[in-house]
Amino acid sequence: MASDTRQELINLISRRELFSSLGQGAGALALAMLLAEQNATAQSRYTLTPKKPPLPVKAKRVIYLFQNGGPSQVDLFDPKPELRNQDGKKPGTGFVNDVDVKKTGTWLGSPFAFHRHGSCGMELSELLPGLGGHADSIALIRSMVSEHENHEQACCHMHTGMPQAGRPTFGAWVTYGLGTPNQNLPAYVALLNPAGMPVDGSRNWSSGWMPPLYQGMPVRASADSPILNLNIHGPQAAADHRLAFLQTLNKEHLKNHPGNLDLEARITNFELAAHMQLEATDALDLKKETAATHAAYGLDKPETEVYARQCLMARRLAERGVRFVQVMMTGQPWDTHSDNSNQLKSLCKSTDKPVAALLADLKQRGMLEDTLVIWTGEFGRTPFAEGKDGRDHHKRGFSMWMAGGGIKGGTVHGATDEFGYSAVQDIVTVADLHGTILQLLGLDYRSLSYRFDSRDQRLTDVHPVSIVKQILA
Amino acid sequence: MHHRSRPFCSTLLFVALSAAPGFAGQRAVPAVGNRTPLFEADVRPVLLRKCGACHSASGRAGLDIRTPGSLKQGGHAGAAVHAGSPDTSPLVTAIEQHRMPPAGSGDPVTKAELQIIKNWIAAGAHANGSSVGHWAYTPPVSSSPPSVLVPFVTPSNPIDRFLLSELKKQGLSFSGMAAPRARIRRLYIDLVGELPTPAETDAFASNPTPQAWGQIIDRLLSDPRYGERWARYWLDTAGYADSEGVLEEDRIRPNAWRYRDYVIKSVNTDLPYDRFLMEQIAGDELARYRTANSWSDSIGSCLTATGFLRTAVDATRDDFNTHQFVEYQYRMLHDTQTILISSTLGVTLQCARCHDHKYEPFTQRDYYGIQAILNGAIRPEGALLPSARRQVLAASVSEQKQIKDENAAADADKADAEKQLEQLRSKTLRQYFESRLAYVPVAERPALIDALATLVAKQRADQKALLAKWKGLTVPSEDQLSAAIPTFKAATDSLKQRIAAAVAKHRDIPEMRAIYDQDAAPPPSHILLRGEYLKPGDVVLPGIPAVLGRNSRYEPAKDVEPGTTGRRLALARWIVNPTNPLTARVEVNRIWAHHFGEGIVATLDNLGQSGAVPTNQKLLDWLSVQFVRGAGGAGPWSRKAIHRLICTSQAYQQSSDLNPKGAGALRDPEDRLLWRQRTIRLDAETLRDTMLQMSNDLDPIMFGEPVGEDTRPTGEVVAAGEDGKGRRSIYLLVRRSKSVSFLNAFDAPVMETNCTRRVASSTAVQALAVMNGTFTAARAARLATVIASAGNIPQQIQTAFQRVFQRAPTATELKQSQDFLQNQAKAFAGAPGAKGTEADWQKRAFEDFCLALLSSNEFLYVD
Repeated sequence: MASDTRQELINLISRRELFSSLGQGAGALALAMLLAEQNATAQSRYTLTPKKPPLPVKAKRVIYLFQNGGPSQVDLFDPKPELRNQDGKKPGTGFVNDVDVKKTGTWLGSPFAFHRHGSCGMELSELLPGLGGHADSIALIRSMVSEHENHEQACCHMHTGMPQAGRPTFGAWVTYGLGTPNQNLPAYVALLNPAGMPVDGSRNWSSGWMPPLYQGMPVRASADSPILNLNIHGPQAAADHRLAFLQTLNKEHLKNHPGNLDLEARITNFELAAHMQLEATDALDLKKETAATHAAYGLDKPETEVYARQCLMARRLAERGVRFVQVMMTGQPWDTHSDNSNQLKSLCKSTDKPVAALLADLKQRGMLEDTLVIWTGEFGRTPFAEGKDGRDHHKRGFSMWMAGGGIKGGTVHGATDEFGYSAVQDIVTVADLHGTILQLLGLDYRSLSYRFDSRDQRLTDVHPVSIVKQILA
Repeated sequence: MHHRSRPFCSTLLFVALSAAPGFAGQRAVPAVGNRTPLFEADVRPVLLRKCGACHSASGRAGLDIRTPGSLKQGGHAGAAVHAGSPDTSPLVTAIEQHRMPPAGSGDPVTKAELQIIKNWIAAGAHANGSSVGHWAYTPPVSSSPPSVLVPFVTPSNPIDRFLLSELKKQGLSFSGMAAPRARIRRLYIDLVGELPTPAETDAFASNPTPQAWGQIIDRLLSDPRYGERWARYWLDTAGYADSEGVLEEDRIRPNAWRYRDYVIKSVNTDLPYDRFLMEQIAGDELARYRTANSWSDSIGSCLTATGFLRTAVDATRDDFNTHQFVEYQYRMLHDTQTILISSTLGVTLQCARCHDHKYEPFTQRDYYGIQAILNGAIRPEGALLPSARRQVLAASVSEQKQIKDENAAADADKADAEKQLEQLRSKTLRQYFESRLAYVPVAERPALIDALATLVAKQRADQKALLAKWKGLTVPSEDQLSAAIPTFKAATDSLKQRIAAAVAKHRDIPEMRAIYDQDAAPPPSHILLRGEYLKPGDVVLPGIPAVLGRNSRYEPAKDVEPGTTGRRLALARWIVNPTNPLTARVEVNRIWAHHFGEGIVATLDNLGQSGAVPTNQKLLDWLSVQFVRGAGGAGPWSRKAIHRLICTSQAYQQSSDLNPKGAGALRDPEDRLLWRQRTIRLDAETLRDTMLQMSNDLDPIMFGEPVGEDTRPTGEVVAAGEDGKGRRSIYLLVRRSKSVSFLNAFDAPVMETNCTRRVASSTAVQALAVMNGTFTAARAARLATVIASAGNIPQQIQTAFQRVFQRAPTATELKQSQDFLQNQAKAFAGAPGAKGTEADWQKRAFEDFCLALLSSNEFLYVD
């Protein structure tokens, strides 16, 4: 991957080209703007200019594949032979459904076979053959715990560190802490399924009480109008004229307001927006990928097409310097309250291949070294049945995995009890996970703070944090 | 499995905090004797000397006297110190009764030393006793405005004298007066959130005298738009929203908008600020609505006002588990308390929820004392069902009964009329049918009658066919019936009128979202250890923070009607008591901040020791005293009087121009001393409102149910119908989970608790929203239509500049604009596949011209 400095240089040059296309006098204006931008970013409190993190950097960017609904750990990641042995039997005392005690069903063994993969021999479900191919690249945590058994609170907890809504997501924290190397693209992208929003909508990428500068920009993984207000109306030439005329007005205005950094910054932002129109359109144009790549991700198959599109767009955005890409699914598909097995089959069929292709693609491009890929839901599912063949929400033990920058591949960390009910060994809390992710990005969870409510707030707030050292390379 | 869910407080967090700006400033420490003793300086040496041999690290009997925390925690026998209550503190009684130090083990504690210990406990037993003497915790004292002699300035307004006196020390003075056009634009945006019309601008520009200026100020302060503009600031600090803020559903809160309207009305009528606060905190107790014989607007207003204490996120839902319900109710209570205290007193009491405040003299007991006041109404573990929506009917008990009786009579009359109508109709149908039966062949008659008598669901196919065949006969229209039976129409009309009259008589009693005490005797309130509700500690009485209550005692009000505690009324009276050190300062500082872009104390929600240092404390105190007494002949607590004072000052009217090499920029680059006005970006709502104003789409209608929002397939949230029916932004639905995308891009807060201060960011997203967004495109298109009638092209350009910028274009700008219009029309005409006429291209070019004006910095910023 090209260094960030080189990327910045490319941006500068291409912006000069844009300015020179704006017509007479724009060249001098462009130079003034670039200088103004440097001034503005040096002095303004809230910017997206790249910042040097305090700790060694293992990963420069994040692709966060969020699996809304709560994927079933015992069917996908955490083989439990004893659960199968006890199938249909009533759980003993102490095993209850936290959502509703009365809904505690009988043990429900997984119908899926688990196979060993890679030289590490990681056991994964037969539903995840693609991921199996990358077992030596991922660190699997089987001992995650959450604090809440409701979706919204648990999602909030996973994204923001607290079950109560209102705080910034960790994508916002990362954006705030690191800025972004490419100002022509949003720093933090929420890549959405065009079919619809996830449960809880924009709260999943909100900047909470931080300025909206740090919130995720929603990008719909579709061919047309992926970004709100990105498409110009009217012909390009007219749009260029309009912008040039606006900047002429602004320049006249600035003459009477020398040294006003806010005004200068805003002039620059119009140029950035114009540039974003070009660069984002290019970044999201999947026609620029080969047929082989399309096939590898599964863009050519109806069942994988949507997630393939999201994964491939994620790679293209990450490649261009987007700091944080958060891939979201519509609604909460992993919420398998009934017909658990069949639903999992279809979900894995539509996502396993694109995810595997993403990992392979990143690896092949040398990007996996400094890209952190995170795959998790907000919680797991009960090892006992809900109704006949479903599983309910479960916070006491579930699985997630990470791969890429700073991650020790082929690692299995932590364990649940013999039924996959409670995490019992090397328990990892959401705060531990957040602290670890920040550290991989060179940020210190203790010092990364934002002042709000007369307090220096942190992502992990006052929760104790143990960095999950065992999964670090 | 190790248990780790308990939060802790990292030392790092507080190391970071202590570096906060202003921490080292303004620490007045008066001589011992008339000040509260400090733990480190006064108390700890005594305790170490007299008790430390046994009760320090070794901790005999489990007691360690070295820190306030360990004293309060105590030893095996329990707490040694009860903050605020020396006489019940075992440390004091042990010394007074000569049990400690034990005879023969060193010197006894002297009377003077004991007094120091008692005073320290009485003041709250704080670790950081130094902040007790913090300026904001003692009432403001008004000093006379300093006399200053500065060349070219004649400071008649005391504000200017206070500011100039500080500026002079830096060798600085005010900038020159801003141009009339800049001043009137600033004033309009500040006071009414809209732009002056070209006529209003011209009138002032041709006669920019102080008299004319004063008249415009007076006119705008009595303009109803003033209330809409300034209510927004209060609604921010009150955390106003129209939705509950919980889960995906984020359900709409019925009747919340009545509180919004109350605030607008109160601001417009200049309801004295003390009364404004009292109504919001204890309007129910103030109005004595339970026992009122007849309802009045004033009672309704007082109850609506208490919506202030109902703005917090509220998870009250029927389908929540009981244990979760309690947890969420505590959160709601905490948020309500935070909103109440931060907005009125500007201190961070919320930090004392889990432990004594680390930087301010507030204890956990102080925090739970306030909570106990609210416990009259909000009881997380109380008997209120989750589904109780807590609305109050706007009628007295006897009126409710009367209305109920009248409604019952009206309903009965309606039912009777409906029954008669039904009977009349079936009777007439039968008559009609019988009169027409003659047309049916005799053979078919029995089958037809049979089919008519069969239930629709049971009709056979042949029966259905038969009925269809004779449809005109069996299902006649009203007209057919009227024609056939002459009396029918008159009879039905009269019955219908009777029904309509009965419906009109039925009166729905409006509901208000209010707060009221559940009864007069709430169960005891407790300190919650570490803020966890499952760990109740000592019982705590309703009370006010000890450090602020040194000059007053808190006791629930006795002059309240039965069924309520009087706790909130007493709190409200204490908050608005002129001796309260914070209330007036907080509001005056807030008003100041919205006129100048920064408060005299920059941290509007924190005037405490950890807040920012005031840039001119004497000015703040003088203004606060004026506010309480009544400034410029106005009554006490008049906010309009403070606006008038500020807006007539030279400080306010001076230019915002910045000479980067001037003395001001060098000596006071942050403009803390106000040597120039500040350039301010329009906030999100004002930007939207002025854009609507420019396109003639702003609907001046006030009040009422909020205008809803729509989510587009793109995920964009827009006000219903795109332009929100042209209503001012304050009337748009505030749905926490779905903030209007355009407003959100310009930093409108997502109301999670409350917003005591907004940011003004500058982003590419904003640029995209104005350049390519549909809202701005619609405004530009409409503005183009508005100016189209102005005449020829130069005249249209003139008109547009006047309207949007309140000035004429320069010759260069006129030329640039003309060139643009010409080129743009060509660009449209020459675009691939362009279809249309020359007039179309001209029109679109003008729309783009208008869009550029509305997107410009000159429009977005106020000088």
